[in-house]
Amino acid sequence: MDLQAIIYVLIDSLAIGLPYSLLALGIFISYRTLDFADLSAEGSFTLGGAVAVSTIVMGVNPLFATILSFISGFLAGMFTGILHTKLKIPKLLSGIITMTGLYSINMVIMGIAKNSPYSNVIYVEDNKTIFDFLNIFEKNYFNIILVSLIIVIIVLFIIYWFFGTEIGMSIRATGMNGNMARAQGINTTVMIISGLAISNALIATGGALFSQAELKADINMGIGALVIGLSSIIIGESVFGKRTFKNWIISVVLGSIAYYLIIAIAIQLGFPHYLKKLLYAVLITIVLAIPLIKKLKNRTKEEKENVSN
Amino acid sequence: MLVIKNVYKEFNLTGNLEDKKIALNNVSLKIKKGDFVTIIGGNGSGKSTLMNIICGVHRPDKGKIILDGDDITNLKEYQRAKYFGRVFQDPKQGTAADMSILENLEIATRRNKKITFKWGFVKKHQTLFVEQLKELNLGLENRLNQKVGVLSGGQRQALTLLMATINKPKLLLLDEHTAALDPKTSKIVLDLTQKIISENNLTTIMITHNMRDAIKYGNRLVMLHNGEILLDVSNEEKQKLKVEDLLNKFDQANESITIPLI
Amino acid sequence: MKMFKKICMSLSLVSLGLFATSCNSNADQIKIGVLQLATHGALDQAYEGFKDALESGGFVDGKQIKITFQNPEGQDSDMSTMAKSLVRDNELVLAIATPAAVAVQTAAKAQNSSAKILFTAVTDPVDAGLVASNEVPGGNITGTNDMNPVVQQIDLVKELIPSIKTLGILYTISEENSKVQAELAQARAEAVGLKVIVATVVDATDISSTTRKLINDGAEVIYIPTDNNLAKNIPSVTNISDELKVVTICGEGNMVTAGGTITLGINYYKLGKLTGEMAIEIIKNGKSPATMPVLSLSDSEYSISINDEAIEKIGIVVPDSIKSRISE
Repeated sequence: MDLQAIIYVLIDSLAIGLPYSLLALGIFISYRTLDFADLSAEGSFTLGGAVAVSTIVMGVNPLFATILSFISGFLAGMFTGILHTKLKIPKLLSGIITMTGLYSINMVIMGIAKNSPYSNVIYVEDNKTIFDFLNIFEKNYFNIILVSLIIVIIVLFIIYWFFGTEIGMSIRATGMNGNMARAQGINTTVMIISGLAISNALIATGGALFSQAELKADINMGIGALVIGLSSIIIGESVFGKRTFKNWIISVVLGSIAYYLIIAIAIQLGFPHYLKKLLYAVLITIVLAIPLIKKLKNRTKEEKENVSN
Repeated sequence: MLVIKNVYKEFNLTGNLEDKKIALNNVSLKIKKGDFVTIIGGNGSGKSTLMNIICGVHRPDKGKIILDGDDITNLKEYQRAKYFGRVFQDPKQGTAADMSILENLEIATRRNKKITFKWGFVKKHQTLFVEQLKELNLGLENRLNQKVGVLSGGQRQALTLLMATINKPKLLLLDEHTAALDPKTSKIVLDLTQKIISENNLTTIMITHNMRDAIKYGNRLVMLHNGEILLDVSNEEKQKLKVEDLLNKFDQANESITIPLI
Repeated sequence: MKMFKKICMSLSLVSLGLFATSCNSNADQIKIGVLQLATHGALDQAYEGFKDALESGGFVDGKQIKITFQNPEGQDSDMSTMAKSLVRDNELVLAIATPAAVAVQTAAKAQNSSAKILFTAVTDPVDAGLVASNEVPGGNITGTNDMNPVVQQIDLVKELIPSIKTLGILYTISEENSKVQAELAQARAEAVGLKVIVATVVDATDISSTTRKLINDGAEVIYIPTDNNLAKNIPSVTNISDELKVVTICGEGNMVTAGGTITLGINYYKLGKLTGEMAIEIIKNGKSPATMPVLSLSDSEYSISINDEAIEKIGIVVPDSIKSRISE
């Protein structure tokens, strides 16, 4: 029973952590690469879910539906980028404007499939999802993990390749030092808009995967998305490091899984639910303190060696 | 090669008429190919504004900038970058700290090219970079993959200098690029600057607050004051200049000006 | 290599934690899982009723049964993980409120689980895809629905204020259950000859101003369905409506306790008990959810409750026909 429970806790965190890692990777692109705290994330995540489920219910092939989600997130990110670069609206506010507008847009999208002016929820009834394509395991539960894993790995390769291209390097330079970028002939406006577009496209795809796993999309599914994404990134960086770019993006994915592992552990420990959030805070703090404790240990070891020399 | 024609620029931060500051007042300047111009002036004389207007950071309220016959006044900053190599006053400004020396140099090689989806690391460039970094004599050629952020101020400026000149720009623009460095490092960077300029015959504009350097380097000296050109001497006349001459000129123009320490 | 070490460390932490918790389970106990959407008067009462019914039937938590209770406080991702865990470890799972029920159903489907699922406090199980029909659910899920006696509630409005001409309806735009009830309320109100004005709010911040506008536009009585957002923020409505002498008729009793004027509603405790009795049928008599129709409280079990303070503030006289049906 124990060993099984442990395995299931790990698997549960993969089942949620993998789709959500696309969210974390998207936020990584906007927050770490472009130095842009993009609040549209909550709207884009829901947008991805709404578009995926609505189109699936209307008969669209789930793979194509997920691609549509990607595109919708891309457009949302472009919009935020344009607000900031062309209309000179401050970064935070640009994201907030997009997020706010998307609230209504998402409800309309979910209503279309139900022949209604709007809806705040939509269910995948008997339609197939993207997870039904690889029916390797008897339990769909494992198919979800497998398909998500495949998608995440593909996305990681694409991100690694992309940021090594001329355009990708230009986007990174833009985020690090806009003045230098412009002085080196980089059109920072286009770079920011592109970066945000890609970021939100990934976030929306994460929403598309999650909603297909949960067989529903609802207007509240994006709540907390930004915090979850940021937490995943920071946990990943602290625990798994960011020595190289390759290392970094893998850490983000692992961080997302680790975040949900912490939650799954907390749930399994059976804490009274009103103390749950306190438990998360404590567990996350412990996890983040690990690198610090290691540093202290190394330092005292060094000091001891210096003394004995 | 570069013609600055009747440029007027004012700044008005608060919107009140009294707070208006005229940075450049109908300035005209012609720079020939091969010129190495040093520009000096007190704080607020307009020298940084002049450079920013050439680069496209600011637009002039009136006037034109013409480069080799083309009117570039309305080009955006990044669109002009292919013509200019720039080194900034702040050593942190010219490079991307979290990227490696190699990556920074790769970006610099594309300053005058269109940016595509091609892979950003070109194998052929590596030998070129190592060669060029060797010339700097700072040991950077062995640290290609190190992040620029760990380099010292002087090393970063040297790297920025290299990045600015790697594609033989039409004009090299140096904006008080040794001001933030200690005297020893400053000399190293200036010697490097001179070396690169002579070897490549680069047309250069160098802003400096150091009058000795202004006299020592270059074939032409321009002094700005209150947004106007006070002095413009070249060649033999410039070589004969002494620091007192410049100080006197300053005094003549404005008796109460605070002169920066040499 | 470093990453491998870190992963090993995390795994050992996990195993320690789990070992600590799994030490006290009894193989003979029937394991029951409960997933409650959020802390909320009505939902809490349903859970209480459920537990009490089981106890009355001889199933005491800790003895014959072991209840594992989870509450994600509305967060979707937590709810998903909890649903998976509950379905895996329990033979019967109770889901309180529609999103929780959907999450449990999805988890069961994904795991090909044979766990039996009961829901309560779900307004429209067919619409949510939980059952094929209320009469014959068809799968391994059934339960009780809290469909408001909306029709009776609207009729109560006319009984309370016979002269009423215009009814206002207020609900939160993101709540599906509320929308369903609002539509039923509008249909009934118009059927009995009332003019209807509908107003929606987005969250807690626009309740006051929307209430004011609704009243200014002519609403003489405001109908509020069992809406989570409004239930949590009733004073935002009643501070304005009581002042302007407008009666608020609510979807259920807890809202009246919080400040609403009157309700003819479901007693969620009783609803929970009804669900508990269904649970007993399943675990004691081995019945299958597929053939157990979705139940709701019968007409006679609806209770009228009023808020005396509100009645006084508004200055309305409650007719005897209503007074006599007020329950404790």
